[in-house]
Amino acid sequence: MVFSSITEFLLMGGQGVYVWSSYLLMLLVVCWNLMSALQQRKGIRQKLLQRLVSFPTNEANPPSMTLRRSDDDPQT
Amino acid sequence: MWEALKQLYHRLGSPKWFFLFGQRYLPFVWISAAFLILVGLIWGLAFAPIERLQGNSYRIMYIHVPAAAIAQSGYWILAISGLVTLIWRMKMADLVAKAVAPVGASFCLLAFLTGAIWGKPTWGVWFVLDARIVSVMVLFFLYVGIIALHSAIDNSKQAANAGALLAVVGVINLPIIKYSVEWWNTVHQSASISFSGKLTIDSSMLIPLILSTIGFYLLFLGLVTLRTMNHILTSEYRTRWVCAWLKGEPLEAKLKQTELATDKGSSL
Repeated sequence: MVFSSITEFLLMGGQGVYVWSSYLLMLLVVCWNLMSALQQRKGIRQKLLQRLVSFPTNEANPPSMTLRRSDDDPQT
Repeated sequence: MWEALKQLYHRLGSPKWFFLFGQRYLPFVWISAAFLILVGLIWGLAFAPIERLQGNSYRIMYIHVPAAAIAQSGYWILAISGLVTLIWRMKMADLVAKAVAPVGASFCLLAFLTGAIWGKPTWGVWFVLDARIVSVMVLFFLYVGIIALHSAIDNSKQAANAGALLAVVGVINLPIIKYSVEWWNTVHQSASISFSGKLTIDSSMLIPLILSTIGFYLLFLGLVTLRTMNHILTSEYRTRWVCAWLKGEPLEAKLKQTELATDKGSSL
């Protein structure tokens, strides 16, 4: 480690504000990316599961066949 | 080689194959991304030497550079998939484009903001009207425009075409970003790393940069794959395998079947 103490590491020679705020932003962007993608997955899954419940089916008659294809994505 | 590429193209063109493939390999992508990012950033923050002129503020580089690289690569993916959408009407290309756009936009914003933060201690200003900075801003607006087109147009085919067209036209911005630091007098430094010419960065600073860049690229790959899988689910919801997936039936065995089917060249 090039810093002699934790305090020095955090202060970064007076440039800590810049360095740490950048890293914080990175953390926010990464978290947003992960959360939004997982949230999207969860929403789609729930939507499709509801569809599956309201159109109970068997292998020979998938719900798809009973539905009119809509151009809108089911999420919206 | 050519055959393998053709096979990959066909497989990637199959939403089912892409989904199963993603499901199988995503865990490895997350783990290696997390490992490389952690090692790269800790190394860069605590062990890379203090820069002679900038002091410690240069450590922002370990996120700024990967973010900027990903923002541009993401746009290349958008443009290429836009071209594929316009020419071959491949459904997967549109799904990938929809997945890349928000991720690329977020990394573009990150590059922009970390650049501003880095600019303050280095140039004395947060923002200047500079060729590099303005061209990256244009990149961000292109991303936003494409996302807006995707979500504003109800008809999914028209939305795909409009987004693809904007993505292809906007590709002209990419060489401008790359060469902006050479063509104009900018405050932004020129590249320290290039394939031709010598490195102007010491290996003690370069190695953690390479690690974090590869790590962020893997994270980007994972995020795009995850989002593409989401869009596959919404577009393929009528198929039997999506029903099976919803019911929690194992899909692993189906990857092999799908592989065999695509090897024979049948479309799925």
